[in-house]
Amino acid sequence: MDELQLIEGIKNGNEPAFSQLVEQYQAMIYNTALGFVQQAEDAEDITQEVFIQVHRSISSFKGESKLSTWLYRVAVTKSLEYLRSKKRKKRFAFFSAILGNHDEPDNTPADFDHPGITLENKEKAKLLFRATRLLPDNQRTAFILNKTEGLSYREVSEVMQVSVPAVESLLHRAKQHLQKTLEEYYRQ
Amino acid sequence: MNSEKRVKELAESALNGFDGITRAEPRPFLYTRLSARMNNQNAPANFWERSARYLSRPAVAFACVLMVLLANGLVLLNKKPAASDQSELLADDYTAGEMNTTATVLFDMDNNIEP
Repeated sequence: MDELQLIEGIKNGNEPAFSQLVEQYQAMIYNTALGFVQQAEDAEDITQEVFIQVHRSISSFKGESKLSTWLYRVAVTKSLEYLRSKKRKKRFAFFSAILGNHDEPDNTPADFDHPGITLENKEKAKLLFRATRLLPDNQRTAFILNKTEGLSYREVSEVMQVSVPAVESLLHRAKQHLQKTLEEYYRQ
Repeated sequence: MNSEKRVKELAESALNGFDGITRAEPRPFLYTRLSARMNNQNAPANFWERSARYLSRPAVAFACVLMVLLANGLVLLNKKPAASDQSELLADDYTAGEMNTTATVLFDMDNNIEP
């Protein structure tokens, strides 16, 4: 089944078509979400949410961009939403802690061990993942799509719906930001 | 403590920490778990779930809180102090008793009837 047949199949409620879409794109979406949230369970939860969203709104997909570009867009949006809601919960937990409620501990590990990282880069990647948490959303998105998913500048620009020079600028600033954070770490 | 040159080198090296990265795969049978979740979401909600969902809407919840506060405010505004309530009631009873007696007396006097 090619991309068009797949989309038509899902629009017509064809379950094998949806199953094929999941099989074909699950690793791509999971890996993208994992780059953002750095937690396997949360990344799987986001992956499922992305497919549920796609199933619901496939009729709004006009085919103006590639299916993979649209899926990346949904995955990035869901991942950023998740991170924002986590931040809100953290703020709420701070006030709860003041009031003596310690029910919800933060489950983000201090160091994230990505299963696709080569052995010699394990320690460096842990530091780099930790540093990416401090990046602004757009710089973080450009960096993760480019570095962990290996998307070209053009592909990143299509996902983020910005120009290629804007992506170059975002990546340049992201690298500067990360360099500064890592230098601070090594100075200590 | 690292020298400034060494710090820069280490940071630049760490920046290349994602080199050679391969895609992470989710746990097997993702589609099975996804289908179960979608079926669960599509199942019709019972009365209590529907009610809870309706009441937890921000607009509905806010309206309920506002109504409770308004009701409380109205009760407080209409309530007279307890001590004066008691004394007014006593005063009313007393006045009514007096008036009643007086009226009877006046009526009886006008009709020349012995009370």
